[in-house]
Amino acid sequence: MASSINRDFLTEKDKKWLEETVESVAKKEGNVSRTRLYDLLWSYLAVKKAIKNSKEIKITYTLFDINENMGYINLVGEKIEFADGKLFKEVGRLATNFEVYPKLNGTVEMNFTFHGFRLAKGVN
Amino acid sequence: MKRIIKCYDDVAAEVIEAANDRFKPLFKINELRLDIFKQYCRAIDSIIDECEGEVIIVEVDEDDSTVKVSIECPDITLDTNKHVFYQLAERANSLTFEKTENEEWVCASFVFPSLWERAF
Repeated sequence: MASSINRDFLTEKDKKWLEETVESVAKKEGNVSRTRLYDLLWSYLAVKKAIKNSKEIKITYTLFDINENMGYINLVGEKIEFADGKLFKEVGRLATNFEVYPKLNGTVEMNFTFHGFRLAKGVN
Repeated sequence: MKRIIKCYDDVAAEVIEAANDRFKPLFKINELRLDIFKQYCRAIDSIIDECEGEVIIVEVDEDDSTVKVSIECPDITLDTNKHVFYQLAERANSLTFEKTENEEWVCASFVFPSLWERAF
């Protein structure tokens, strides 16, 4: 697992959910990097923690729907406010790229995209 | 030829000077904080250039004297995880994304710590 990640804000419930979800997805998918899964799922929790108005924002994560090597965290809302810039930066450090753009319905949409989930054959 | 707006020289300097006139004599600008803020402004200039933004707005909060810098861009895309945008976010008290008033662009606002300290 990524040992340099800040785990201070995680509750015991969060840690349990992280570990269990990583294992569950890894078992189902087969040749997938547990480290990269942890990066995305940790980032999902970090984004929820960092956002001030999280109840007004739709925050989801998606794995492997566009292609099998990619996942993303998606946020949609009228105003997305990060009260913790350090966590925002940490998520950005783990993500492959970031984008935010306006939508026609008065909201903005934001994506943190993560690549590099698939392992070379023979690697665990 | 498109005029290039500089965050500090063209926008922030005047706003900060006006705020300073309101805050004195009880408060004065901390020169070190101002130097750091100028560095933030140079980073904002590079982001505006990269995102093809056109608007920079600087406001000083009357209650807590924090400095809010807002930029308006068609969208914001960061293709590297070491982008200066993240370094600015880390140094801000808060970072907000919303649509612009004309609802066509994205407005990103950084709220930076106050530049002022007690004068005595």
